[in-house]
Amino acid sequence: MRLFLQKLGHQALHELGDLALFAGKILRTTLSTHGNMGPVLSQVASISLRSLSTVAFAGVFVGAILVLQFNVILAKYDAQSFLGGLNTSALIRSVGPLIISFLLAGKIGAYTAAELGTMRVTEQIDAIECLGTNPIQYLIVPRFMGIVISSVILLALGLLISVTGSMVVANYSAGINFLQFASSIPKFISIGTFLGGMFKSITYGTIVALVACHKGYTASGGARGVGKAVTLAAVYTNLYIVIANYLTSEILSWLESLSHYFNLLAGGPT
Amino acid sequence: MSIRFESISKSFGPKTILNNVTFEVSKGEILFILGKSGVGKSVTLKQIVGILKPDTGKVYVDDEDVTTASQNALADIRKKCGMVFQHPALLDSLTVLENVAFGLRTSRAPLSEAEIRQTVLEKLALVNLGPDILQSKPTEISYGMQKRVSLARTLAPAPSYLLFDEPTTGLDPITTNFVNDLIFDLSRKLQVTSVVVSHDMACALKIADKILVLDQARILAHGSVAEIKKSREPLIQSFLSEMLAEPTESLAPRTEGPGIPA
Repeated sequence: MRLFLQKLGHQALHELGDLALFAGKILRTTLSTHGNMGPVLSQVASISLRSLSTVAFAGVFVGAILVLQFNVILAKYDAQSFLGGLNTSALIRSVGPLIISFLLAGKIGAYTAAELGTMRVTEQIDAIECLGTNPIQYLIVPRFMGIVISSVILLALGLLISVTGSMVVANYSAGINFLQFASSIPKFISIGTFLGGMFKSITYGTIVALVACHKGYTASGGARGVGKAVTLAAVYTNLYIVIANYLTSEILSWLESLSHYFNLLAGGPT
Repeated sequence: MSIRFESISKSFGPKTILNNVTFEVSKGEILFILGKSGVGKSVTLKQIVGILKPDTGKVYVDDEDVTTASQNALADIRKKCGMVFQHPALLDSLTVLENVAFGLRTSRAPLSEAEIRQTVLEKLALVNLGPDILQSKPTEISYGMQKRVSLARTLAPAPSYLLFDEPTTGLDPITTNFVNDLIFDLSRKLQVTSVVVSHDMACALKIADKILVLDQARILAHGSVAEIKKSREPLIQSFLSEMLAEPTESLAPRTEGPGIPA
């Protein structure tokens, strides 16, 4: 058992160390090369367009599920007027960023790992290097930035679609009309809630981008190697996102307590 | 102007691929590296352009140490060396034109779009391909054509050194002869130094100036074609005896080749 845990710990440290070094390379390359935003914008457009239908579809259903679940609980306390606020708050705070990042990991993360892995095992990345171009700059930076920026865009669009879907479902299944639904939203969310959702989204987007690019870029061993890279990218991304969800929730709730404390000190609203 | 390996050792995990290997390739020379699969032929080639680093030893290109070169110095070395990979290694998302132009766009002396297009057409013509495939994606042309486009891409920036990793694998006999003639012509007429990794002893005897045979992580033999032919080493004898089945005309050494203007 001890040996197993030692091996697991060693493997986890090795994996995180590799990821940190790779992130360092991306950061260094991004900072040392100025400005060509063309490839990044092309990736943002491509990723956002490819993922939008999936995000919209999932968003509507996730919103609907939350409405149905919250409605059961709120109805017990005759508090259905809070349905809109509670639903939107849950979507922005946690469910939205989490679901969108899982979808991104499944769709774009797997695609990126497979694409880069294939380029690696068919020597395309070596060829780029031999032709005097830095493959991190040419291949990785646009994909990395593209995924991170797209995750924020998709969060915004996904939330919009999800809240709209929630309103429709709340209307016909709970009898809460659009106005009642919308009027309770400001009671539950603030600018801080949006910023928190965005922070989570950027964090998870970074994880998806980093793990997918790393696993694809370091793939080896032909078709099996590419398959392994894609599988590992999916497994590690989901694992890291769940861990990051806990950590970001802790940080955000700590910041929320802090802001609540300062508000009390200033004599403002609690 | 040469490529020099000094006491190179390279291992992958517990497996030693190269052990204390030393050799030199002079300007304009064609060196064939032969050996069984997995003896480190491709590893040797990739160390010349710094894609792989040796565990110990030094690799020099034009007296510049590749093993300790900075990223910028390494980029300069790579611009002098064109490498043809075992796979065509063309970028799937780019057209044939963009693939062949790839190295030209990153060159230190910027070229106009018209100059780039002209060079691309010239290099494609050199490998017997016409302008009709310029806008095709690599997946839309045959494997043999992909290999030739890959060769054109390598030739486009006019490198001083050409490194070939099994350039004729998967090609038909006519294209194989064509590629071998091209390597010979580039060396004789443009003084391009070539290092060719291959299994093909017949081809080596036909166009090589020198042959290096790798076996069990070391150099088994290194010398001129005549010296290699005289070797009593069993592996070399086995390579030579394999060739007895080949048509005798393929063994006749090349003396000159048409195609490339001197």
